[in-house]
Amino acid sequence: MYKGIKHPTTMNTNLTTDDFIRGYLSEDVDSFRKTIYPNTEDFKKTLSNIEWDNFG
Amino acid sequence: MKPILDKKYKIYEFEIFSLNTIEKIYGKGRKYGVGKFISKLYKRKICLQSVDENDSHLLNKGYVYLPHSEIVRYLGVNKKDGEYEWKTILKSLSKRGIVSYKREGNNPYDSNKKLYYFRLSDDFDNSKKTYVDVESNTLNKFISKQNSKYVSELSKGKGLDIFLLYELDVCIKSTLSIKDLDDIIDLRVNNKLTEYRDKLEWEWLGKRQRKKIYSKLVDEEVFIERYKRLLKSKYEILQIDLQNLRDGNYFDLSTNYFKRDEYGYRVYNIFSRCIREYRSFIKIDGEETIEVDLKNSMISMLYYFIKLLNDKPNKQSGLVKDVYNKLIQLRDGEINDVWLGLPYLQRWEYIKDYGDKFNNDYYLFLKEESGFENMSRNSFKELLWLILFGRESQLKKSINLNKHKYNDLKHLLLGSGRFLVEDITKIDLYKWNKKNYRRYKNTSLILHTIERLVMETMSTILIEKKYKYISIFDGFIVKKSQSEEIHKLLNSRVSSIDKVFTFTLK
Repeated sequence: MYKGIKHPTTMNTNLTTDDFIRGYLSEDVDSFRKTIYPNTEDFKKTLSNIEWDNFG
Repeated sequence: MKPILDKKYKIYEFEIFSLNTIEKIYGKGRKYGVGKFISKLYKRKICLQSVDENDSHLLNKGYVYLPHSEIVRYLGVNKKDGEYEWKTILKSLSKRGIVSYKREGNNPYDSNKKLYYFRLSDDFDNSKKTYVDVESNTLNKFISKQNSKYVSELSKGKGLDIFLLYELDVCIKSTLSIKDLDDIIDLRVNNKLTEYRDKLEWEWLGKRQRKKIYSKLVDEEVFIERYKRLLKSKYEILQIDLQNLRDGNYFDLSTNYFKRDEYGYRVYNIFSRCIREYRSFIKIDGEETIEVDLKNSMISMLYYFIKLLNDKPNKQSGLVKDVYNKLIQLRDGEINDVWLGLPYLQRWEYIKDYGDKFNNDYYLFLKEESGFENMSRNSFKELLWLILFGRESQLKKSINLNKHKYNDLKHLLLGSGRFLVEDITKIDLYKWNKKNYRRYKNTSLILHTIERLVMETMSTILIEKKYKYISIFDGFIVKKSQSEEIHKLLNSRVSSIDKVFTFTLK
């Protein structure tokens, strides 16, 4: 068994590196992505260039 | 809000097959439809074409895919004399040598039907062309509606995930403008020729690859002329597509730029296929940019994967856990440290500790350590990649390295890690990549997945800090003015995943 592995907690999202690794390696990686940014409306506010209003 | 209905979209008109000619042959009603069809095929072909094509693949022979719904829209949905208009026009275009087509792959909606792939005649590459307005209200309305549909899907959270969406947003305000385009094209051509000549020096390079390079160098003038034209056309099309992005005309983009591949789920954007000589001219929000790259990415991923594999079984998850369990099955329920590559990890602990001595260039270190001092770094790197990612049955025939047999070579390069790499190609990871799955590609699939993991973890940090970036697989293009702080931030975070990872500023 390899003993050297560390899973530090350094992410701002309150998720640990360990959580990230598990999330990204899981079969349902799409769901994991949604847990990082669960609210699409909030996320959309961080985008400045897509002109949502010009379209239906 | 309603779609913009009075907007005129644009298409390429070619001298060798003008809109007037199209009108004379297919009638006024099909003039812009057929014109749009030809223009779209041309743009897509140039956009996806590579000079280092792998001849076996349709895409690389110049064939491009177009969905059935678009074919029907451009070439006509009605039946005339017992045949659909689009079929009649396709046959006619094919007879005239304008377009050839093949059917391949499976239609996701009807497994009995094959998809259409088209190849526009090479004569269009040399033809004079102008970028003209579409003077058809119905076609303009159709394109406008498609754009509305696209944004509406995005708005509902469909289509692109947050990472793709973020990059789309950044790319909308990006430009790529080269004043002395001819000089940059010359530079690229020279770099390519140097690369080919270098490759011919690699003693392990197989006959087939050697032949391919010779075929380009034999008629060097012809190759240079053709390559220059391709690079110029690629530049033109990139300009058109960047404008399309700015105009919100997503439907008219030459290809589906913003996507993930089936292979480790990597992110693609409008600059992913852009040559590096062009990339240095990218501006974000009008500001100059620079690339921050993960150094020695793939080989570091191999180390990190083996480390995850040797972690406590209850700590493992998903793909790594699956690989671990299947390796045990393969060995009839038994597993030991050597089979899991543990000695290979210990070798890397040494590399990590003494990395500074060779500027953390792991390829250089492995090259020296494996006894290939005389080999160039690129030659060694490519050989290592082939051993890791190639198909053993093919490689045994194509690798030629004097006295070294294939298995000896593998042992020299990977040490006891070779047993693990061999075992990995025997297990079934189909559920992790259902499209075109091949077991010999398992290592590549795993390493690309882990690369995405590391890069996306870093992307999350950049998004949180509101730094704009454009990702290029194992690197980020960022504003020069922010590059130092981003470099520092990324390194502090990535080293917390593992010390093996380092970002460098290019």
